Amino acid sequence: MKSWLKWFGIVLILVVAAACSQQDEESAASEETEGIEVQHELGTTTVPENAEDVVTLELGVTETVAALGIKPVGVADDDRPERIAASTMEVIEGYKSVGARSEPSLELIRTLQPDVIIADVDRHEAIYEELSAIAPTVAVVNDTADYQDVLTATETIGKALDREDETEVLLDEHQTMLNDLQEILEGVEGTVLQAQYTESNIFGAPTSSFFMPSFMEEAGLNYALQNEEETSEDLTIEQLLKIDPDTLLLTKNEDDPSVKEQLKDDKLWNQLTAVKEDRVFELDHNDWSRRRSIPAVNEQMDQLKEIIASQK
Amino acid sequence: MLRRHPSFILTVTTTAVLILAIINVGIGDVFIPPLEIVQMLIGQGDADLRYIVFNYRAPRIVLAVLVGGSLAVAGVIMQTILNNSLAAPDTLGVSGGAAVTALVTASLLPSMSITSVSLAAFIGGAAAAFIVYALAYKDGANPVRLALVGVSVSALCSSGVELSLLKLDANAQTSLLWLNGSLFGRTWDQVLTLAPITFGIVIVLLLFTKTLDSLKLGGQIAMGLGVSVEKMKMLLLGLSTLLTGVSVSAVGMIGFVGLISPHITRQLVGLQHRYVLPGAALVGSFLLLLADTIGRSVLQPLEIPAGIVISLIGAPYFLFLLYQESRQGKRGA
Amino acid sequence: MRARKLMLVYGTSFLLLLAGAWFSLKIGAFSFKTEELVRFLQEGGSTNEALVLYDVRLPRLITAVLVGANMAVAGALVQSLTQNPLASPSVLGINAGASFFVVAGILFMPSLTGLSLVGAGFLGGALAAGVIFLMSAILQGGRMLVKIALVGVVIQSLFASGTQSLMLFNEESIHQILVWLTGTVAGSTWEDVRILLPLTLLGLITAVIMSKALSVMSLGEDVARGLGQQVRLQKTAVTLLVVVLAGASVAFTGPIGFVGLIVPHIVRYLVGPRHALVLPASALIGAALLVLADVGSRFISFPSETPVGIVTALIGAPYFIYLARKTQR
Repeated sequence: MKSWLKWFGIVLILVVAAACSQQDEESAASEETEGIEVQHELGTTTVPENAEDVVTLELGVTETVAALGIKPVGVADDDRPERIAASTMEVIEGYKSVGARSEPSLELIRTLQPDVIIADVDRHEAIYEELSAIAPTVAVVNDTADYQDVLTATETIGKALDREDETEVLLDEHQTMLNDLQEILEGVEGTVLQAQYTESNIFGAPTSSFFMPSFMEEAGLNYALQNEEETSEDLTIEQLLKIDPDTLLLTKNEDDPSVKEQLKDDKLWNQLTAVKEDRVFELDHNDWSRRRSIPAVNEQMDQLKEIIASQK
Repeated sequence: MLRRHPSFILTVTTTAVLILAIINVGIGDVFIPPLEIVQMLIGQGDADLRYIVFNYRAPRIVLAVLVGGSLAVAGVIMQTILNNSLAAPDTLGVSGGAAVTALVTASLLPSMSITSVSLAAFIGGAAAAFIVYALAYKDGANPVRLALVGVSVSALCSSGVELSLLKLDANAQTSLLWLNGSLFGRTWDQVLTLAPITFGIVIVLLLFTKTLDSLKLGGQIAMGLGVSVEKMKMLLLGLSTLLTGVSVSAVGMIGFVGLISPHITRQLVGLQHRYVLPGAALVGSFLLLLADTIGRSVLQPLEIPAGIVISLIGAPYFLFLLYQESRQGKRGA
Repeated sequence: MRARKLMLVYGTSFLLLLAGAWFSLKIGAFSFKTEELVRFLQEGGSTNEALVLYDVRLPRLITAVLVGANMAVAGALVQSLTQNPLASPSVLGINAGASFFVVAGILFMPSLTGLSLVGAGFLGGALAAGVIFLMSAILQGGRMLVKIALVGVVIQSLFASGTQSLMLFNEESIHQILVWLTGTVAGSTWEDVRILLPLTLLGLITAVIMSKALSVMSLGEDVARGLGQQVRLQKTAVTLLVVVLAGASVAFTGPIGFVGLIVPHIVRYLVGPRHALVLPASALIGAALLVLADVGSRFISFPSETPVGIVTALIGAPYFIYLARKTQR
C-alpha cells in the first residue's frame, strides 16, 4: 500500500512540475508588440497586422470571413460540412475541421498555428483564455445574436482581419439591398411570423429578439411575436390562431416532410389567415435560423422579396 | 478462483493506470508517436506538440485520475457507511444537486467566475446530500429507502435541470456538455484547485480504514475512544460528499464511477479497506481515463463527453457484475 | 361507513377532475365565458373559438385524462409487481427506454409520425422492462428488492445518457427534443386520442380484471403459488401491461414524471390496499392530477406554453419526499 502511494505521488509531482515549467514559456509567447487593437465582447485584443491564418468557431463568423475574401485555415463545422452554404464553401473549400462549435479541438487549432481566432461569446467564454494562449482571440455575439449584433460583429471581424475596406463594401452593398427592400416593403401592412413545426405538434417561434425576425423588422415588416427577453416561444395551434399572422414563414430541416402537407386537413390550421390566403411559405431552417451573418441575410432578401411581392 | 495477494493486484492496477495514461498522451486529434513523447521527456521535440502534451493532455489525465479516484473513494465510503451497495454519489442525489445549482447560478448570474460556479455546485451537492440523509436516515438507515429517496431527489434535480435548460439558458448545448461530465478544455488551474483538497481528504480517509472495516461488520465494537458511531459516520459521509462536490464542480456530472468501482475493487482485492480504498481510487481513475481516451478518439475531431462513455461502458458491465455476484451466491448486490 | 368513505373518495376525485376539465377548457390564449363554453359544446360551430374548443382544448383535455390515468395505473402495477412502494415506471427505466427510442425516431426518421412513434415508444419501454424482467429471473439470493431497483437505476441512466448524446450531436433539434422530453400535452390532437383511447381502455380493463391476481401476488410468490396462481405468467402479463400503458403515454406526451410515483400512494392512503379499489381510483386521481397540472402549466409563461412535466415535478417531488418521511414512522 505504501509503495503504490509513493508511485502515485512521484508521477503526479513530475507531471505538475513539467507543466509548470511549460507555462512560463507560454506567457512569454503571447505578448504582441505591433498590431491592430480590436475592442470586442470580451475585452481588447491586439491582433497582428495582415493576419492571414484565421480560425473561425461559429457558422455566421465563417460566412463573414469568407465574404471578406479570406479562406480560414480551420473551421468549427461540427464535422458536418454539408451544412455550410454553397457560397461560403466556394471560398473556404479545403479548410481543416477543428470539430464541434461547442467543443472545438484546442489541439488541432494549435497545430494550425493561426494568427487570429474568432470565437462566439456565449459558446467560447469558458475556453477564452486557452484560445488566447494559442493566438489573439476576438469574441463576437453570434449564437444568440439579433440583427444589430451581427452588424457589430461584422465590423469587429473586418477590423480584426484588417479588411475594413472590404467590410465597408460588404456593408454598403447590404445597405443598398436593404434600402431596396425597404422601398418594396413600404406600405406593406400585414404581420409576419416565423416558426418551426415540431413533432409534439407545437410551433417553436423565434421572437423579435432573434436574428431573422429582428432583420425583418428592420426591413419594415411587422413581426408578430414581440419578446425582449427570450429568443423563442412555444406555441400551439391555438396561440398561433390568436396571433394569426398574415404571412407565416415555416422553417424546416431539409429532410423533414412538408408541414403544409401534414396539416392540410387540420381545421384550425385552415382557419389561419395566412393559410386561407395561401401565404404560408416553407423555407430552409438552416438558412433562416442557423446562418447568422450579413452574407446569409443578403441571400435571404431575394426570397423575402418574392414572398412579399406575392402579396401585392 | 485463486486470489493473488492484494498488494500484487494493487501494483498491477497502478501499472494499468500508468499504461493507459501513456496511451492517452499519444492519442487524440493530433497523433503523437511514442518516439516523439520520449523526446519530449528529455526536453526536445516539436514545440506545438509539446505544448499539446503538457498543457492539454497532461492536465486532463491528471484530472481524470483525481476525479475518477475521488468518486470511487466516495462510493466506497458511502456504500460501507450506509451498508448499501446502491449508494453512490449519483444515486444519493449529490451529483444532481450540484448540477442544478451550478446551472442555475451560471445562467442567472452570467458574470460569475467559474470558481464561484464550482462553489455553488458544491453547496448544491451538499444540500442535496443533506436532504437525502435527513429524510431517509431517521431512526436508523433503511438501505432501500435511502437509495430510493436518493433516486427521487436526483429525479427532482434533473427536472430542475431540464427546466433551466429550457427556460434560463440560451445555450442548451454548453449546459448539456457540462451535465454529461466533460474533461474538455480543462487546464492546470482546475488541477491545482482540486489536487490539494482531493489528496487531503483521501489521506485522511486512509487513516480510517480500520474504522471502516468495523463499520462494515456492522459493529459498534472496536470504536473505543468514546467517539460515537453516528458522529463518525457523519464525519466520513461529510468527507465523501465534499470529495464528490469538488469533483462535480471541476468536470460536471460523471455517473457510474462511484457506483461500480467499489464493486470491481472488492472483487479484486477483497473486503479489507486498507486495500479497497486505494484499489477503488485506482479502478476509478482507470475507468475515467479509459472513458476519456475513447471519447477523444472515436469521433475525431468531435469529442464524446467522458460521462456518456462511462454510462455506455458502465451500465452493461454493472448488470454483468450483478449477475456474477448473484451466481456466486454472495450476500447483497 | 366504509362504503360511504369510498363514495366520498370517488365522488371528490371525480368532482376535482370535472373542475380541472372545466378550467382546462376555459383557460388559454382564447378565453371563453361560461355561457359561450356551454353553447359551443352543445352546438359546435365554425368560428375560430368553437374550433379551438373542439380541436385543441378537447383533445388536449382527453389526452391529459388518459395519460394521467395510464401513468398512475402503471405506477400502481409496478409498485405491486416489485413489492416496492417507491417504484414507478420512470424509476425502473421504462420511461427512459421509451424516450430514447422516440427521440432516435424523431431524429433519424423524420417521416415517422403518430402510430409509428408509438411503436418506437413501446419498443424502448419493452426493451427496458425486458432487461429488468430477465435480470429478476436470473438473479438469485437475498435482497431482490434492492437488486431490481439497482437494475432500474442503471437502465434509466444508460438510456438517459443515450438520449443526451443524441441531443448533443444533433443540435439543430435540441429545442424540439427538450420540449418533448419534459413532457407536454399541449399539442395533442384527435388523432392522438384515437390511438390512445383504445389502448388505455384495454389496459385499464385488463388491469382491473387482474386485480385479484395482483392482490394474491402481493402476499408473496410462495403464497401465490400455493394458492394455485401461475406466478410467472401473471408477472409477464403485468409487465406487458405496464409497457403498454407507460410506453404509449410517453410516445405521445413525453415522459411526464411523478404521476406514476405519487398517485398510488395517495390512493392507498384513501381507499386501502385492495387492488380492485386501488386501480380505478388511481386512474381517476391520476387523470385529475394531470389535468390540473396542465391548467397550472398555462400560467407559468402565459400565453406561451410550458411543458406540464415541469409542473408535475414541482408538485410531485416535494410530495414524494414528504411521503418518504412519513412511511418510515
